[in-house]
Amino acid sequence: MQITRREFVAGAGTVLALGAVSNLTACAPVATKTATQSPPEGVPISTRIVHNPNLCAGCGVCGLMCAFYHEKEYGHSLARNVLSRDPFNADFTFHVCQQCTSPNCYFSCPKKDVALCVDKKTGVKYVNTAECLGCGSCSSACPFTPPRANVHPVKKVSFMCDLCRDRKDGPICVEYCTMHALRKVSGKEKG
Amino acid sequence: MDRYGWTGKILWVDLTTKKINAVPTSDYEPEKYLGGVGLNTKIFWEMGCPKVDAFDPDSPLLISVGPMTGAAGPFNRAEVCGIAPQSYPQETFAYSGIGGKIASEIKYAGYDGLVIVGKSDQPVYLSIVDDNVEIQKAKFLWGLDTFETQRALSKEHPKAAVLTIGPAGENLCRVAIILNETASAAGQGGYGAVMGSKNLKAIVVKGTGTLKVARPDVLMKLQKERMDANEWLKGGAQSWGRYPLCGGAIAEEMRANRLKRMAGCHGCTYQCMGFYDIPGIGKGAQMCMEAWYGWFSGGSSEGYWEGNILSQKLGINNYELMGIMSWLLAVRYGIVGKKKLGLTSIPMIDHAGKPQLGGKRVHHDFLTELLYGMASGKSILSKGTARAAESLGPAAQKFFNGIFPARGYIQHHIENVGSALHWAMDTRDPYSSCHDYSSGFGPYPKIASYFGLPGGDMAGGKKMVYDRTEYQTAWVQNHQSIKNSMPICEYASMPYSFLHPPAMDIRIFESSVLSAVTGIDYSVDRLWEAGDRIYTLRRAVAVMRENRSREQDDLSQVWFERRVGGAESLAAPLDRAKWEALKNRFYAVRGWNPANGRPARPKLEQLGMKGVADKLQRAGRLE
Repeated sequence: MQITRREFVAGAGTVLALGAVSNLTACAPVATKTATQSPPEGVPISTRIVHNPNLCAGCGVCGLMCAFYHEKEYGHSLARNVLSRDPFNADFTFHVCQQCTSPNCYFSCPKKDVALCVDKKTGVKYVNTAECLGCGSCSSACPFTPPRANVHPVKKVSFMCDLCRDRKDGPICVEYCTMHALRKVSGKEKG
Repeated sequence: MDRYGWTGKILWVDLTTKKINAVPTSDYEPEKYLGGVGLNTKIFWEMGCPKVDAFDPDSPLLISVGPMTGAAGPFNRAEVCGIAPQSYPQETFAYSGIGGKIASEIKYAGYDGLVIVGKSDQPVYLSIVDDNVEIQKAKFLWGLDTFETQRALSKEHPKAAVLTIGPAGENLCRVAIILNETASAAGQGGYGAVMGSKNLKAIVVKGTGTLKVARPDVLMKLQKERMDANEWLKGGAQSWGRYPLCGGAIAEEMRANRLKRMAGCHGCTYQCMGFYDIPGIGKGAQMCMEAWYGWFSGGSSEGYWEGNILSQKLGINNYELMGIMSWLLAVRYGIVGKKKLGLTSIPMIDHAGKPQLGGKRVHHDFLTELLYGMASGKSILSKGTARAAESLGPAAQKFFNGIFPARGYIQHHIENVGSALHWAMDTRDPYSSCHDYSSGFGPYPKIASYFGLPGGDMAGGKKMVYDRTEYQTAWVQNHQSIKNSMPICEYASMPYSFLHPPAMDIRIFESSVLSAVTGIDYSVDRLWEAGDRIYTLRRAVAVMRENRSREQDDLSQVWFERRVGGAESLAAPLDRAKWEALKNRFYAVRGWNPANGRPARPKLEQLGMKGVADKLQRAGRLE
């Protein structure tokens, strides 16, 4: 379901609360900065990826396949997601872009809508690498720890989860999660 | 030029001089020896196969990854090689694989391998963060168990992978392991004690680099195919960790009430380990042999789990512990006496027939005595069963010979003639990387006939088949060398994981992924030749260093006299005449000299190893 700007404003209270709750509950380290600006106009709330720590085996294939799909190389430094591992308790936490409804990264981008863009049809945030300056302001603006946007160590452009928007079968981390710990959910659904 | 597969660097650390440098991998012909065991063996060969004891400062500790390491899939293992203190009667150049998180971090840090020589004058650990390599003081870690050491180091090095030894390694227990996380260990060989002899408590590795792939689209397609085939990428075939191997009430209890979740090595889609938690005893993963004490604890899951957790923490080889338990039961007290063993009571003997063999407390006391005794280096058993039995005299040794068929390692799936021959030829218990017999050709004649090999000798009752068995053994030896060098996990490359053609041909999958990553066209034949070459180089090392000869290519005599070795053993004793004839044919298949088992020049030259032939000749060890 798509929510237009008008509907959004009409139900601002509930939707914002929902958005905030789902954002916070989905990620263990809570947001440290709050959104200060209104969401972009006329765009729906994006789907996002949620993690079930009770199913996760901590293998890290999510990060490896992510880096491999987007960068054609394997290595966690190039993954759009981060898996925090505690192997002595088998506790694993997955961190990925929560597709905030009011995205600080987007508002902080000096080339907003050219470098850091919002897909008007789906609401997905994505980086147009051809235009990105690599300034890192999106990373600094991200309310989460660790930040969900990062600068590529070699290419010096920003990268963040775009839900594999150009991939027919959807996010590759979800597809290759053999434990079914990752799911793609609609924007309003709780993780 | 981009480097695909290999990073192109080997880190060389001398703990005596504190000199650290990187040498080019290309010095060791990686396209011919791949990585892992192949690369380690090549490095050891080029070092001149040092004829020193395992604990000599000049005894190198070699830890290599392979061209596949770092990719998603069952490729993230490292191979530890060196002079193995566990081997008996002679220390041999052997190998031990390790999973967990360590291998991929070594690759991402930019290294194909680590070579550690020398001996530090005080406890140290090695810290590797990409190009930043430091030898750090480790006095604060000395004496800590493997879990405590990793926790302490993770404070200073968050997100790094740690290879560590426990007190057993520090005290030169010959069956000490090197551990990563809770259950990934280089177990067989006793390499933990080699680290201990160098005063090296731990190796910490963190890499921010990547594995570069020559043909990413091809690799992606291959991964997708395996994924859709719902075989190992979906965690299909192998899952021993989900149900502790000891079975029975313990396995039911562990699975129903103690299993927290599945676990696996880094980057692998094949969650073969179970992570268990018994409050008051501890938490950790277990996969296969951690079940060792389950066979002896009379149904006590607490005893079983304490045995597992304590041996991992102290850093003792679980597989050897199973051998020690079997041997203790066989020799009983009459021959050895409790005092010599440093044990007050052995519950399996003193409480036999009673529920849970005397209860939780008895197991706790026994395990504490046994394992702390071994880890402190004070118990006679810390030298390993082989050397303990020797020092206790011929009566104790008699029992040892049945359970330990060759080179001081406990019997492990010698279930057909082919695997017996494989054992006889190796430098350690080879079975952790050659399940192709009991999980492939033995029970599935269809797979064997696809490869044109004899098989089916474990299907519907075991049979003793000598005819053409030399081809089966040579095939598995080559495959083992490939698995240990690409590397690819044993569990993911067992022939039964690939039962249906064309997926049945594991060789096609292995050569395809290796070609996709490296950009070098490895046909099945070329890959097979690499396996042949690696196995032959291992033989050349054994001939050069240990003067390995035909007489040593054998199992202990008792295996020819009666049926020994438990349930997973041969159908009947080996027939000496047929066995020697089989060995003749085997040497001919391998291109070795049947008179003494040494590799011959034509075969070496055919494999592009003229230099090896020349060196052997100069040493008087060719022909």
